[in-house]
Amino acid sequence: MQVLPKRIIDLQINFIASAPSIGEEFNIFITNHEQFLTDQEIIDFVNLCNHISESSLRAWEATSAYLKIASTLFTKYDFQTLMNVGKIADKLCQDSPIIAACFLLESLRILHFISIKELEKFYSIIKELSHSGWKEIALTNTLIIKSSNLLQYIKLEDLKTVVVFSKLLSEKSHEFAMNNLENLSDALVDIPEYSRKKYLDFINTLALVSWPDVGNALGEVAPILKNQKSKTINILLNIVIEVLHLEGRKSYEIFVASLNNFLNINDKFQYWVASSAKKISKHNPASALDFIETIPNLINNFSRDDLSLWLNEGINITANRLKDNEDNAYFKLESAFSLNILYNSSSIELLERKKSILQKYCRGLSGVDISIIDSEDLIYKKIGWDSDDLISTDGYRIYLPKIVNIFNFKKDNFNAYKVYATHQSARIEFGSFTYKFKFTKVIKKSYTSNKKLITDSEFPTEIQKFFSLFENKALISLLFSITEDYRIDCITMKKYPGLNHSYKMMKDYELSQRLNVDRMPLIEMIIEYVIRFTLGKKYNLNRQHPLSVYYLKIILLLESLSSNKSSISDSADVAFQLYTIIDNISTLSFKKSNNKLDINKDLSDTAQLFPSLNSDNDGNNDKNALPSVLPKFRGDFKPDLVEFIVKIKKNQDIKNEGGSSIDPELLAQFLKNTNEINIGELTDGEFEDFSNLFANNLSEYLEENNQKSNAIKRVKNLSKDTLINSPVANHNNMSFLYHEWNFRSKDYKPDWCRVIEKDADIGDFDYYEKVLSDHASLIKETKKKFEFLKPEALKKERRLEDGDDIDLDRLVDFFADKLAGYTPEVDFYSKRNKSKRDVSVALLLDMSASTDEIIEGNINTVTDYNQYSGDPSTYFRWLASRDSSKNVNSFKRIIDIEKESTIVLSEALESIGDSYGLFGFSGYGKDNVEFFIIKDIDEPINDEVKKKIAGIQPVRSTRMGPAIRHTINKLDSMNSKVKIMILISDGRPQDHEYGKERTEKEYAIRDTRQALLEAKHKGIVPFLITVDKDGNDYLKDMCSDIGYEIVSDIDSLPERLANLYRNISVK
Amino acid sequence: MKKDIIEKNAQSISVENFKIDKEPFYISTADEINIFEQAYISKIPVLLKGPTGSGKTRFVEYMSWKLQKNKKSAPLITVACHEDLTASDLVGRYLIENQETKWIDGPITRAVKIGAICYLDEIVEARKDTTVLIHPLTDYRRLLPIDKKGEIIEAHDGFLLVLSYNPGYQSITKDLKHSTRQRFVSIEFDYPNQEIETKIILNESGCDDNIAERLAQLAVKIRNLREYGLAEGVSTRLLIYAALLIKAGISPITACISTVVWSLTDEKELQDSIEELVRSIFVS
Ligand SMILES: Nc1ncnc2c1ncn2[C@@H]1O[C@H](COP(=O)(O)OP(=O)(O)OP(=O)(O)O)[C@@H](O)[C@H]1O
Ligand SMILES: [Mg+2]
Repeated sequence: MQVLPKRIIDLQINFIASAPSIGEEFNIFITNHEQFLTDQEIIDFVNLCNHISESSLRAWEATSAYLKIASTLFTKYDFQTLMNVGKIADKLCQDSPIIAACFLLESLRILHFISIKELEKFYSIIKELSHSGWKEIALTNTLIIKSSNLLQYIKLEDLKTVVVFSKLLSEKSHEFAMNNLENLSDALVDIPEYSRKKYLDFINTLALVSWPDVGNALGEVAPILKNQKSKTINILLNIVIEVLHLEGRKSYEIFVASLNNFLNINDKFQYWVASSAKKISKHNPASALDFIETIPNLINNFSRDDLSLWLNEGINITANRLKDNEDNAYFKLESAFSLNILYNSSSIELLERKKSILQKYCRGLSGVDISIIDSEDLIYKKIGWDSDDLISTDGYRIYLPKIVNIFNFKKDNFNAYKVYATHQSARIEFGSFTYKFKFTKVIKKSYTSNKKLITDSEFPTEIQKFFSLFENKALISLLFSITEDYRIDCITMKKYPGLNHSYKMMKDYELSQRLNVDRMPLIEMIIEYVIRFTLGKKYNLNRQHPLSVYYLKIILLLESLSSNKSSISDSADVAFQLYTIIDNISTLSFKKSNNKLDINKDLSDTAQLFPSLNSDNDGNNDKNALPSVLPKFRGDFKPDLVEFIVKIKKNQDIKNEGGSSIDPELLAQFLKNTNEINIGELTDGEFEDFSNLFANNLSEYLEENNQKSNAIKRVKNLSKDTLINSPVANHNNMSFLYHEWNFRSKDYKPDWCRVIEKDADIGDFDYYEKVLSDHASLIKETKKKFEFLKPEALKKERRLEDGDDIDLDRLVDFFADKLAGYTPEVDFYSKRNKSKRDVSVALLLDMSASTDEIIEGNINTVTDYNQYSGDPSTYFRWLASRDSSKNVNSFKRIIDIEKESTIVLSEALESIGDSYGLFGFSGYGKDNVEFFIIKDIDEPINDEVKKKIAGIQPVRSTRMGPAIRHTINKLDSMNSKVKIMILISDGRPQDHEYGKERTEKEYAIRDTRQALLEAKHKGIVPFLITVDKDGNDYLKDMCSDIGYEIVSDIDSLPERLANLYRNISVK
Repeated sequence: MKKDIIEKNAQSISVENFKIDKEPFYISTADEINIFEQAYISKIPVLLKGPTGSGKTRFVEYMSWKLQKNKKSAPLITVACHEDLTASDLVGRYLIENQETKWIDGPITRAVKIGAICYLDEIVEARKDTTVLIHPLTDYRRLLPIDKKGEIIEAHDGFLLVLSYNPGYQSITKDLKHSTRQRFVSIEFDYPNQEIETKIILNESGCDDNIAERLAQLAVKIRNLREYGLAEGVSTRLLIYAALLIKAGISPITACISTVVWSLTDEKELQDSIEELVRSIFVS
């Protein structure tokens, strides 16, 4: 061992003093590398070490770390590098030796990614973070530890952004900053290279405007971006950064939603979407985001051209209405205008728009009470129909797809609907579901006795009886569908020649969708030829063609079905014959291949050719191989299932009981034999479960049909749901959809609010009586005032003994009679007479929580008696009213006044015999507007109603618009000449998201006003009564042209009601 | 009132004015002809029920002609009833002429006297006091009281009272009273079946066989909608109009839309549905 110079030994003492191990490490380093170092270098190194270790109390940690890596640094790089790293550590030591130590330990890894020259830059970046507090130290260390990781993905330059990010977060929460810094590099792994920088910017913006979302963004956004292969995503990120700056927090969620949608579109389209969004974002970045969220739902149903039209209109609107389009309803598809543009600019036809026309049309054609229903509903029922996009019928309902867009013109797409509907309705009209099994001549002739005989009781349906004749059920089922559909087509063409053109178009379209026939196996091929024949394409197969003879035979058979008189039984016969022919073909094809398999086995092999028909196959695997064997427009023909359902229904009707009266054995038997439901291989246990489930679903389905209530009454035809193709959930009975007015976009949000009708709560019976006695004189007074109103709707009545006018015809008669000596009756007067009043009133009560407030200071509202007129009676009246208001009202809430007014008014209305309804409303949010029926308009008042009035309580919020619209709907259905709607509220419409924020009133007020105007348009007189607490009446401003009163004590109500009534009901 | 009018009125009592010379075209749809004939012989009044344009008026005309042909004098006097029609409008009234009064028989009185079929179309529209007349005339007495003259006349053997009414659009308040209704033999009219209707259309309009057939088919389809918002099914009358337009060269679809679709309803959606039926049945 060499002797060390004195200086070094001194130094060592220094080290040892701070920590003994350091001296040890130092010695080892010097010993190992002395031979490669000059003395000067050793001195410099020693000085540096020394400097580091002296900088603070815990600097020995840094020195130790330095010495630990020194060897590697020196051997891997050079002395200069060793020194440079050390110098940076030394500088870091000024802030914190712990940071320095951390840096040193990480330095080797960091140097993988940056050059030695860049070290200084690295330092200056780190320096930004490092301060002396322990939190900053911890954060800086984390950054240093992570940076080798980060630098794999980002440039050193971009590390600055990370620092800013960490700083921003740490201002909010240290822990949060630490965690997210930890996660950042994991997140970056997922991000494609060209998006990383943008992604960092995005994260940074988030940290700035919406820091709590940063964690989510790292966790959820990065994985989404993982498989992104194109740079278009950067455009998206740019937009969201901009929106975040403008709109803050809420845009994050929208972004995530839109991102998911965006990435589901194919690459080519992505670019169009992104660049369109960019155009929009010039005017309004938030709208651009909405656009991205909306568009992926549209691309399946609209062509690029359609969408471009819609887009341009939208850009136009966004650009021009910049100021009042804050809600961006257009690109959210929350404006009727936007939906209409979309609908009108495209060739698309929607079931929702044409449903009721088609329904009436089908009822006309068939004479059966047919309902047209969206086929999604049927799949949802799970009773055997399962393919989407399906067209079918169960004998009294016709199922049609939501959207048709197969042709280039809307008119043609409508005609496509018409063809679909006609075909299904024709099945009903021309007896597709009336099959009765018979041994017809045809069957007898070819039916050889070597097969088992049919006994009647064995089969749950007639169809199954027939199918039991065949080994291959899938094949006969297919052939039966073909023959019957062909028969139906032929009859339809004869009976409804006006449809010829549309049918031809549809058939040509279907033909264009057929697969190439040339490579098909013979059996498949012959069936394909048959199907094409039914679509109007006849082939001249040349004689050498192995199928030519069979083909001609088959065509002759089919043509026999085209007569007007052919029936379902003929279709069965022909199907039977086709089966026999195809049976022969299979023998033929096997003879050819010298195969000795028996026919039936072979036929079940052919069944394999039709995976979608084969019950052993779930049908999904091979969809591409044989997408749909039968033309789509004729729909799904399920005679067996329909027969079974009808049978069950009949049984139920006979027993006159709803519910699950389905015989489980019968069902099991049916399910086992039927060919029309895909069950797959099931164990006995599974089969039982399946069967039970099916029974349940079926009885639910039948029950629903019995009720026949239209679950959702759509006020207008077009809704967002249909356009974007999302499955519609099943909603409660008696819910109604209404538009809402968005004053910002000056447009309705279509089908925006859901009003749910509910029975009102029952209260205490005594309440009503108590109010009656408390306000006995008031009610009497009101009644009296109302009596004056009675005369109305004058009508000329003739032949009266007295009156204010003379009927000349009668008068002539009178004199003639008199002259002739006959004593006539004096009946030549006529009169404009009061006939029955014809008024309907709806009283709509605000039952929101705010009506719970107590009305104070009623005494103030009774004017002080200061104009003594010398008449003592007025004084006493004043005194009395003051006292009564004190006694009765002093602890009253707004709702109490409402209730009392209701009672007063209904007593008065009873006395003049006008029909009236009492309704209350409340709710929370747009999808839950509760509408309480206290008394329907034509319902008589009774104890139940009285209890319901007592039961009125403040509940939740006040979304007035939909409640008013629902009331309009109710009044609109009345035949009265005069219709009045009286809304009693506290004047404060307010609900969740009824306006931009809770404090915003304008949106709610404008919607309410719009609803009131709608009432006017419908000839209903709206009138507002505000039970005002302290002038917080927001409705006041909007009532310039609508009747309006403030009532703060009940006593003034009758007078005002009577006045109001006089003004509006006697017109 | 002017003298000549009065004279005219007086003259018009002559039976000849109410005779039907030419055989009206009528196709029997059930055994209504027989029933009517027997009712006439047995002097039982007849009530014709059925929707508008279903052939009630035509049937009465036909019966009048047929009975005359069979040497049973049965001229026809028709009164279209309306809201202000009173008993004296039916029975007759005094008129003043040069300070003299002159009695003029009303249509019912005339019918009673000359032994005609008196056809009161849409009787429920008339005022209630007309029932006072109808009751004594329609039971075994067959008497017509003329209050103003203090007379009671017995009906001629050939007299028969026939009422018509359309149960479809009457409100309950305007329905026939049971005591009235139960004095009549009722014959129900509905739209003829497709085959007969085809013949009627053919005969009345002289259009093509095919057109007539299609129109009759359309009628069936439209009548299927009666329960679904259509107040009345399309009448044979409207179909005949459509046929006449088509014969005049208007395209079938246009003709049907303006005669059938628009006349039946003002409701847009229902119109559209019916139009689609038309478009399925006729080739454009
Ligand atoms: N059975 C029928 N035979 C011949 N023509 C008929 C027949 N039924 C209806 N018509 C035709 O229909 C038209 C209308 O019939 P008619 O005027 O008799 O109807 P209605 O029942 O009297 O109607 P309303 O109640 O409106 O008076 C007739 O002009 C006639 O052309
Ligand atoms: Mg008539």
